[in-house]
Formats: sequence, C-alpha cells, structure tokens
Amino acid sequence: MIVSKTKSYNQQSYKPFSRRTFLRRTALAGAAFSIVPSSVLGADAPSGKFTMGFIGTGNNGTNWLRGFLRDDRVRVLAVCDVNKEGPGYWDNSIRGREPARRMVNQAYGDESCAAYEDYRKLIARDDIDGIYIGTPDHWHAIIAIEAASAGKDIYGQKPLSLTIAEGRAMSNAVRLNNVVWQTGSQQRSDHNFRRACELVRNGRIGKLHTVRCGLPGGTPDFGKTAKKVETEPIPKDFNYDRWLGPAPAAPYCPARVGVNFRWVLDYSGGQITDWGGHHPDIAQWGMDTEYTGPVQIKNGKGKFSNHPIYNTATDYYFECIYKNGVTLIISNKERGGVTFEGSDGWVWANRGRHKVSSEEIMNAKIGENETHLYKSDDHITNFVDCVFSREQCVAPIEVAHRSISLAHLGNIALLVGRDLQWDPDTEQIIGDPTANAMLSRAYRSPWML
Amino acid sequence: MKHYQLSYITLCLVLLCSACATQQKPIEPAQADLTNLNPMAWEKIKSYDMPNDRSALIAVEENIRHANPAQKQAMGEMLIGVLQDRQATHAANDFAMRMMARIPSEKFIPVLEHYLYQEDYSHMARFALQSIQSPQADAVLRDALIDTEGEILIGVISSVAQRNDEKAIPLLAKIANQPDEPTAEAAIHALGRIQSKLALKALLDLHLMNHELDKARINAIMRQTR
Repeated sequence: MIVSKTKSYNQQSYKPFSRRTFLRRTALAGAAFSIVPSSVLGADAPSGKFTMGFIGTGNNGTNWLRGFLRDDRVRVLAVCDVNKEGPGYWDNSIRGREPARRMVNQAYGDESCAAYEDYRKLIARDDIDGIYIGTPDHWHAIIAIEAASAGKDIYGQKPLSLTIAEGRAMSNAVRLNNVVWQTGSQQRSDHNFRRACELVRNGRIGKLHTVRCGLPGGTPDFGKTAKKVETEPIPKDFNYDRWLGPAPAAPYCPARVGVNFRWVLDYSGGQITDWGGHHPDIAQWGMDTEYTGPVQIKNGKGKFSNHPIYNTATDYYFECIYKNGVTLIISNKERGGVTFEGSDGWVWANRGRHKVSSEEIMNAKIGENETHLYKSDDHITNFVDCVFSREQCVAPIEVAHRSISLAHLGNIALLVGRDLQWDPDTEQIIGDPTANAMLSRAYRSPWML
Repeated sequence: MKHYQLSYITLCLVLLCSACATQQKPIEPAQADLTNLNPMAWEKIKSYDMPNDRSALIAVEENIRHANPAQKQAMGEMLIGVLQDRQATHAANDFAMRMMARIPSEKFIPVLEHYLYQEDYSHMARFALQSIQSPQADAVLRDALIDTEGEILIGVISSVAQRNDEKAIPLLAKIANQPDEPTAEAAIHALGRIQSKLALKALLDLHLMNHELDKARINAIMRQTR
C-alpha cells in the first residue's frame, strides 16, 4: 500500500532538556536514529498536556478555540489579541482577548488563562508548547517565524501568507526549527475531498486534463461594517498601530478592521486567497502537485471592488497551466467546490459531499497497492496527534505554501494585467521583473520579515 | 506650462497615436481599450483623500494595467508630477507610489529618495523602490543606511535585506554594533536574511555582550546555514 504521508522527524537520543529545546537542538545537530522517551514528548510531562496560546482571537481564533478546548490533551494557558474587546467580527459580534479569556476560564472552571496584547510575551513563555495563529493574513509570517524560532508547534490559519516570499520564509523556519505545523485547511480532514482526490490519483476518471475551482466572489459585508468608512477615533483598548503592524499606515475606520480586513489588499488577497487555502489546495492534492506548482498563469480577467476602502477582486478568472498539461481554472464563475475532469469521467467535491460522473466511479474501490491519501477525520485531533507523535500533519506548511502561491500568482496576474511564466523550482516569475517584485512587499517599520 | 500639464498633453498624444496605429489590429483580451481612457481621472488623483470615491484611482490603475511601454513612460511622468505637486494630498502621494511599483523606472528614484527620508512617506517610498531592479535603487538605500536613524533606518534595513544587497553587508555589520538595541537587532536580522558567505562571516565576527542581541545573532546564523 502506498501511503502519501511523509515522516519528517527522526528519533533522537534522550537528553534531559525541555521538550522544545530538545527537539530544536537535536534537529540542528542532525542526529540520527535513537529512542525518544515519552516524557520528552510531553505525554508524561507534569500536566501530561500540550499547552497552547492563541494569538488572534477574532472570528476564526474564537471558533477554533472552542474546538481545542474540547481536546483533553490540550491546555490553553493564554490568549492574545490587539483588541481587548469590541464589535466588527462575524455579524458584528463582539470578540477580542477578553471574551476569549472568559471562554477559556469557563471551560476550565478557573481564572488561569492569561491575556496579552503583545504576542511576543506569549511566545516568550517557556511553559507554552504551541500556538494557534488566527490573526489577519498580514501578521501570519512574523508571528509564525518567531514562534518557530522559539520552538513552538503551530496551528496556523489559512491563507498561509500575504506574499510568496513570506510563505517561503515561513516554511523554511518551520523546517529549520523542526516544529510541527498544521495549516487551517480543514477540508483535508473531510473524507469527501480525500475520496475525490484518491479517485483522481488512482486513475478512476482516466487521464486528468482539467480542474475547476469555484470560489466565492464579491466583498461580502461579514462584519456589518462596510458602510463605516469615515475616519473615527481609535477605540479605547484597541492597539490599531499594532493591528496594522507591517502593513501601510492608514486612518482608522471600522470598515477596515474586524472580519472585513480580507477585502483590503494591504492585509489579504480577497476571496482568491481567502479560499485559496481550500479548493485550490484540494486541487493540488488531487493533481499530485502538492510540492510544486504551475508553469504559467494565463488568461487572467478580473474586476476589482470600487468601495472606498476595499480593493480586492470581486470577479475573477485565471488559469494555472501545469507542466503535465493539466489546466487548473480558478474563478468565481465556476461551480463552487473542486471538479476534476478526466478522459473517462469527472468527480466533484465540496464540503460534506461529492459526486461523480458514473456509478462505476462511485463504487470504485482503491486497492491495497494503490495510492491511499493521508487519512485525517478531524483537523484539530490530527494536529494534537502529531504534536505527540512528531509526525507530519495532513496539511503541512510546504504544501500550504505551494497552494496559496496559486492564489498569490493569480492576484499578481490580475493586477498587472498579463500572463505570467512561473518557475516552481526557483519560485520566480520569469521575464517579468515588475511582477516578480510583487512576490514580496516592503514592511512598515519597525517590523521585518 | 506646468510639468504635469505637459506630461498630460504628451500622454494624450501618445494614446491618440497608439489608437490610430492599432485600429486594424484584432483586440486581444489583455490590451488596453483606449476608448475608455479617462484623462480627467489623472487630474483628480492629486486631490483624492480617504474615504472618498476611488473611481478616479481605479481608472488610472486600469490605464496602467493595460498600457504599452510608451504609455507607461508617459504615465510615469504623470506619477512623478503628483509627487512633485505640493498641493497633492497624502493619499494621492501614497497612491502614486503604489502605482510606481506597477511600472517601475529608474526615473522615479530621485523623487522617491526625497520621500524616503520623510517619516510619513518612508515606507511607501520603499514600497516603490523595492520594485525598481537597479543598482541606483540599491545605492540610494545604502546611503540611507548611513544618513537615517530610528524607525526610518529600521525600515531601510528591512528593504536592503529583502533586496539581498550584499554590498550593504559592511554597513549592516557596523550598525549591528551600535548602541540602539532595536536598530542593532534589525541589522543582525538583515545579515541573517541576505544569503551570502560574507553575511555569515559578518555574523560570526560580531562580538555582542547583550544577551538578547546574541540570541538574535544565533538565529541569524541558523538562517544562513539552513
């Protein structure tokens, strides 16, 4: 049986260090095989638990915090957000570090959870084994690299990065520091998508020629703040300057922050990247191109928002052409989900369901000696499992970087208005220095990549 | 006649000639539709402020997106004109620098250098400078390593690192030894980012008594040796 699941951690000789220090130093030393006692891996640690801190407790942060609180192997010790407590999140709900702290304390029946405004204080805690990153996209890279350098295991939300250069730096940092990484691409733990990809990878639809990713369009007013575009005084207890971080300075208005940040190119890439960590990620999984990418971005067409603050693409279409001849189409005009089209049929998948073109394909069994993809039935459980086993998660960072690169390249092609030639090995746009320069951005001081 | 008015007339003439020349060519999806040009948009951007209607900015951005080399050159002159106009708003200057990154040119360097030294504009000046693949742009940033301090200097260090400028290594090594801790840390971090044996040597040669800075140095060395 071929299992597409990479074991990325060697077992090391026992030394009486803390778990994180041990793993980091042995990775640097490049030690060979030896035995690791479970006490080093945390299973028999004083609490027996994997301790965590949550950085970014807005929408996703709060939602996923609930999930982690249900895992008995996890103990959340701290939360962090630059917003103490305020509206502007999903359906104008109230989120921030204080609501998150209350949630944790209620779950554990005590007052033990700390709340920080500065993520560096949380990362500096030696008693925290891992972190969750749920900040807006423009903060992912800095926090991830610092956390990895501190030896923390990381559950990082999608989209992985704001630029391709950031994603590369993040992936390198995780690898260098030998920490466990799970991307918040939870569709990889949905058996419908796995089944669809296994059917494709095992040739059940014949020779694959086209993949279609249907993503949403527009700039929906999730936070109910889209009309609040006038400059206002910064709310008390909201560190807006820290919220902006490496992004360009801009006057404060409610429309800019909260859940609607994703419609501003300084902080995110709109629907293309918001969903780029989902359906295009599944596309790459089914195509068996997880560690590479296309060679061309073609026929890009886009329309951008004319809102006073929002400027991401509202309608879009672009093609990613692969060396093996497959065309991956990403558009808000395609059927929602992922459709794989081959010479002998098709398979479509979306959350919680999948369809195929024939009963034969529907009933196809994947043989023992065929490709069986990484099985994960729950994304949080998979991450915590891997923290203890030191195995690679179902959505590792290099795979996430390659997936979101499609979205970043798509956005670049739409912004410059021309086709791009991409070298997935060197990760450079060929013959177009202007577009190539857009693989990274200048950071606002004092922040650095 | 003001500089931007001359550039505006030049732009219109270039666009008119292009329109005549391309009349017989089939229209491809990516080419500019010159009939949609809005010359008034270019005039309006100088007075743009947030959160006003961005139609003029969107029109200019669309022009730039579909411009041919001759048109880009003329548009570049218009963008310089915005930055040189004392009446232009902060938001207009911000926009002009963002658009310069879409059509980078060495001609932008002198005006960007001027803004590089201003606290309110330094970041966006670097945003544009980083897109200009030119030794001149590198030289301007290296000069700023000497002539700036505080957060402007840290920003310049960041851009030098992102451009992987090996010629800046001796300057960064010197900055890594100066007393301001955040600036020193930034320089150390930059030496870790510039992939070069020279940068690695500079890190190894640093002797730092400050424990936190030495930790930063070790992290930077690790990045070099991956």
